[in-house]
Amino acid sequence: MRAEALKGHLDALLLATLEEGPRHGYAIKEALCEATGGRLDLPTGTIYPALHRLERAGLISGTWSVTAGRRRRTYQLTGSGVAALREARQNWSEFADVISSALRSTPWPITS
Amino acid sequence: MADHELIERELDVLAGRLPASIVDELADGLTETYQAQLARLGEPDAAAKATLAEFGDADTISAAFVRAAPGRAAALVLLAIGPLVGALWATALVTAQAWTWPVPIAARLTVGATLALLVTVLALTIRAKRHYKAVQIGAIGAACGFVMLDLTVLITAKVLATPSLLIACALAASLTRITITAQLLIRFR
Repeated sequence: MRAEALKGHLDALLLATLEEGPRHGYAIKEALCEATGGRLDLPTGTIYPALHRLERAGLISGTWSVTAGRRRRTYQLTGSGVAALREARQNWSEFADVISSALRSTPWPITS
Repeated sequence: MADHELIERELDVLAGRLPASIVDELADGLTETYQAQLARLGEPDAAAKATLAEFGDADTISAAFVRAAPGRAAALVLLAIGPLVGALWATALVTAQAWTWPVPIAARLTVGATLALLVTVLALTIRAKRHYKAVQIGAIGAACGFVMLDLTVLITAKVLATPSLLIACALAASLTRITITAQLLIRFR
């Protein structure tokens, strides 16, 4: 699956990867890959701007630490992020129900 | 830092375009990716090439940061509201016969040149595709410039103009733009 297909859903996917606890950028990418069975073809580097956008929106917060001599930024969900994830799940569920109903292969009734 | 020339080169390019804190974060991600690829492939050159393919090249990454930059959003807002504020002031100044005010020609030219410069800076800022630092500096410079320009015109009109509804509307527009610009600047932290 290409990055373009994720338009509008990437934020929710990133929030979902942080639901289990704080993660740094690469770990978030790995979690995303694992959760989707490796079907997401997303350049790792483009996850970072999305994380910064989510942080500016107050949905996640980042903290610095030092690991193996490198500076590492780790992110976790904020209260607003938890609420946004809940809402995104609800919206997706409703959207998926509507599209699934419309795409069901049941023949249309004859009206004439 | 990752121990491979290709990765170091990518980080050097990114360091020229992005703030140090972002480059530090990307360096950590690149190193993690490189180590995972090295464990998988066992050969440094192949691992470095696979890392860059997986991580994305410097142009792709910096372009993604520029698209999400607060500076770019601020520049778009300032360019969008500029014509409205400008039209209000133009109408108010023409109606008030501002050319009769005792303002030196040099001061008038300076205001005009500053306005043209700020619009050019904003246009260049939103056209920038990969240089995040340039976008941020351009937007901050233009935002501060518009605050100064608005304050100058606002004070001049308050002192020299005969009170009218149009002048009041233009003053209100400038005050609104100053408030919006201040809020945009706060987001740059």
